[in-house]
Amino acid sequence: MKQDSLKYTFKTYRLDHLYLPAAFLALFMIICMFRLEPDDLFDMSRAYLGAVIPLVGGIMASYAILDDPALELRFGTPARAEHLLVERLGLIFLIQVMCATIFQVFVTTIGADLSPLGSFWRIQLAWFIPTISLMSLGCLGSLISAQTMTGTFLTSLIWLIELLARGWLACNSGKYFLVFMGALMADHPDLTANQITLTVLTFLFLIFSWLLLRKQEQYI
Amino acid sequence: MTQFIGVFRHEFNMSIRRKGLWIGNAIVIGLFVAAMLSPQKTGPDGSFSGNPPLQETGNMVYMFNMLILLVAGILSSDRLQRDYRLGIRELQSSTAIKPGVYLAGKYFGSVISTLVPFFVTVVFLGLYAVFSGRAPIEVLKWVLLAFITIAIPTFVFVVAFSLVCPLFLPVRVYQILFTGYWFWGNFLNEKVFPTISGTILNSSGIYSLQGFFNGTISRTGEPLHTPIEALLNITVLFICAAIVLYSGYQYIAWQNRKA
Repeated sequence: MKQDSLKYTFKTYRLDHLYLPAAFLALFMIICMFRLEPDDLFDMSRAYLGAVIPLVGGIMASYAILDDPALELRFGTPARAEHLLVERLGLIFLIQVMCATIFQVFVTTIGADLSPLGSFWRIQLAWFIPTISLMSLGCLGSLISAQTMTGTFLTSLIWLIELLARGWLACNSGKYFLVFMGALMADHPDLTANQITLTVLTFLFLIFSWLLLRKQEQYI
Repeated sequence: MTQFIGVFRHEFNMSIRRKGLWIGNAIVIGLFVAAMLSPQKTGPDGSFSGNPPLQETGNMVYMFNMLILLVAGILSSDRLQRDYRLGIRELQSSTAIKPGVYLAGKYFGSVISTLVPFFVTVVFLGLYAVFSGRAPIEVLKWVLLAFITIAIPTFVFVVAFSLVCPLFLPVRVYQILFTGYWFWGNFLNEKVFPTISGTILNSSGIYSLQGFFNGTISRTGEPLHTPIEALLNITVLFICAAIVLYSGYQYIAWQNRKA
């Protein structure tokens, strides 16, 4: 059953899940080639890792479950909610991981220094946490309203609000919810608290999504 | 004309009843109204308490425009495409509705329905400023002027792209590109990243804010953009929207011929 389910996921896989992240990766790699100053490379790297990857992952995740032409048939079979979540979100997340890894190897090879973001693990957390946060938000938004559009604009709105008002948010209690803190304010004293809060929120969003997906009949 | 009114009314009614439109606007408006009315260091609250009312009015409309437009752009992106996806377009093309009338009805229905929550909010805030004694009655006139010069050109521009581009791209791809564009093309500093935000193609309404309402004055005290530049910016946005809509019209006509 599990194998069939995975097979179905791959067979119905939309290619834009792959070519859009790949296109952004290529675009940023090309821009980096033209801006080889260490400071420019660092700015490009944190923009790509901290902002672009989470946005792509978040919006893709909004469409992950409900945007399926055979949704009724899919829910007609005894599919477990957790399997569905892992299959659909896992594949999108895997692509973001590949893009982040390729980009880091590339920029490091051409001379970027990512150490201002912290240790190796801090650098990974700088893109990992915003990505899973926005992905879980997008998925939950879509499932709550039973519309992919709601998940999309929730993700986009949070992304834009936090990017435009990051300075203001970092000065008040918004600092715990600022998804870009790891990439754009790596020296903020509350970075660890911010990352713990976002991780807890992500888990809550995923648990809530799982609970909603257990009642699959509401999406048919 | 009857056909246009029919398509327009249908589109407007469908769009205005979308839960997403009101949820999205409620998030943005709630956030900004809370920020505007919360106590500031400079005075009792952040609205109409420091700068000249004309400038405050422009700033207020511009501030809402920054985010409400994102909601409008994303929500409009499936308005035309869904007719194709759900097979409604086939039914419509079998009627006497011409492609141009169909596109115009969909377009104006989408633009006006997404503008309604925004218009109601800024008028309400203008009335609040007048009745609470924070601003003269003229502020209502300036709210209308700010809405016409800052909000309408950007909505006209963005909704045109949001309707037509998803005919050629998957909706989710367009939505990611649009969200990225909105930040990159309007708010990103050109010294940090190559961008069009410093050019006449900026669609955030900053040219009108600075040109007509003296918003965001530079350190020298001079407005960063003149009224002429603001008019030029509005003209460019209208021309771009017209070109995009014409492309959409050609595409729909081609689809009809092909069917």
